[in-house]
Amino acid sequence: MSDTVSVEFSQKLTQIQRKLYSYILSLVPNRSEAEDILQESNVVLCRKAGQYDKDRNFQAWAFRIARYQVMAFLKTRKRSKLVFSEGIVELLAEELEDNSRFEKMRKALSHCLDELGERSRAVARLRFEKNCSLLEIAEKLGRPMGTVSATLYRVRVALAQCVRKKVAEEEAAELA
Amino acid sequence: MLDNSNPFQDLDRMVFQLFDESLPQADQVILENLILENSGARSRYAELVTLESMLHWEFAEVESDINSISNDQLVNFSEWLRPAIALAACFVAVLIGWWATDQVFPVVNPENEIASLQLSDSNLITKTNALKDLSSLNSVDLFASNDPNTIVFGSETSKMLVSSIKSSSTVNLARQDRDALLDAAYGLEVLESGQGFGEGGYVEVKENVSAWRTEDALRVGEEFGVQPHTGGSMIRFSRMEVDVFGKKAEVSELVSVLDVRSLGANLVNAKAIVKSSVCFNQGVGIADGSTSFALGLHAINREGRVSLAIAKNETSVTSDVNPETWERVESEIELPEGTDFVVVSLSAQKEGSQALLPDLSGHYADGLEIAMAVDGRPVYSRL
Repeated sequence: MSDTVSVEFSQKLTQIQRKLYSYILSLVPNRSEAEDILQESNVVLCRKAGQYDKDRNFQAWAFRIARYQVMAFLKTRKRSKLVFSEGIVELLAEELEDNSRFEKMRKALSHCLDELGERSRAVARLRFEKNCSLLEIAEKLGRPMGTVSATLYRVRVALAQCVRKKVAEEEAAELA
Repeated sequence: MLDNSNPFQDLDRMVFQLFDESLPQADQVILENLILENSGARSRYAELVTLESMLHWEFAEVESDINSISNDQLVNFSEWLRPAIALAACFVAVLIGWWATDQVFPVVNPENEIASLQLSDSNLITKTNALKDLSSLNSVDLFASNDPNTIVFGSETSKMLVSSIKSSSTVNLARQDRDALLDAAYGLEVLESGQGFGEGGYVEVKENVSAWRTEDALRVGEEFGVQPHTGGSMIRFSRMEVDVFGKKAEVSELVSVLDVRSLGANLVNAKAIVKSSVCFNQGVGIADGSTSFALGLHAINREGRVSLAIAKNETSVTSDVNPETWERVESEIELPEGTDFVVVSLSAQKEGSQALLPDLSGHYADGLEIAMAVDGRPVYSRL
């Protein structure tokens, strides 16, 4: 570990954890693998803290290091159905570095979650909070897996539409 | 709810299946091509995956807004603490890894059950041996033996009995209880073996009561601006186990197991009470709010290789953020008939955003006192 990690650095690193996780998950769309890579990225960022130039964009620097970690992960891992090819990861990485709407989406999501019905909320809690698989959710709730899958689909679509709408409204208000 | 006019409906479906690990291989190729060739699809994918990550991260927080401890305000810390706090970011790095690797008993940790290895007649049982042996069971079957209270872990070629502590129907064990009782299960076997010491602790005999003591291994001197409440050392909690998405961090420490089997029939005809008190404190960290500390007492009934937690009392306190003050709690339990052992444990818990960085400073306990009386007559006490 570097002994030159400053308070400012640690605060910055803490503050971008959500965005960093989101970025990594976009490139490696598997929750546990994304968590592992986030962890590795944090270690590397700490080690390289002394190399960070305060005049540079911290997020961009952190994303670049996380991207290297993702590429390293892809090289060491056999291709599976849940791993994108390196070419796509490179392409996506460019796309994902602009996350200027992140905070707006986050704020909108907190409102949109309030609008979920009880049944949808129960399924969403098990999936997103408890990280249960579809099969586990089906067993816990005593419903067919297809029903759980359909409920989750509707939850995601509804939340995406709601967030899109609220972000658009906020941006319109900013322009007005 | 479904948007039939959505030109990305297929893409949405495939992305959601991807998140749920149910995307067929053929569709993955289609999805990859879409992302590769269509910038609109790329943007859509980016939006959906951002939302998905937020759901992972935020859901628990949004759901528990009312209950969570909201303390985003950074505390001021003095200049002399800066070097220590400067390492804070590195805790972020190791925290999740530690959290992930700290799950050493996945196979033997069903709800409310804590297991330890059967004590060998001839060898001193060690935790590390237990860990090694149990970790080797990852791929073997778990099945119940003829005794419904006994769990047998084994394969076709080897079987290994384990002892365990379960909760009775009237005792609800929290996660931190289970961690402490896991250690206690080991302490029980050391006490029953008649050995004077074991890994991480030793047996102290006072007033005809044997006690497995482990707190000494946790003792440290002054640190993080916290001075011991009494004497020159204090108990330091181990690192908290972090539930990143649930925004919770907690740790428990077993400090003592009292062997009260000698009381025997006294528990039927008399009122036996164990009282304990302890003081808690925490150092100042970069984003530390208060910590919820608890002192727990469990009455354990030993039945063969299976033990039952038949009574529990826990008292908690929420600490302030001043390292100069200690918060004291007391706990008391009346031992029900059938109590063979009493487990004394400490726990600390953080919730909310601060739980993601729980160990930037230490969490401490000191001044532990345990006393036992039967019908008001002291039969055991220790400071």
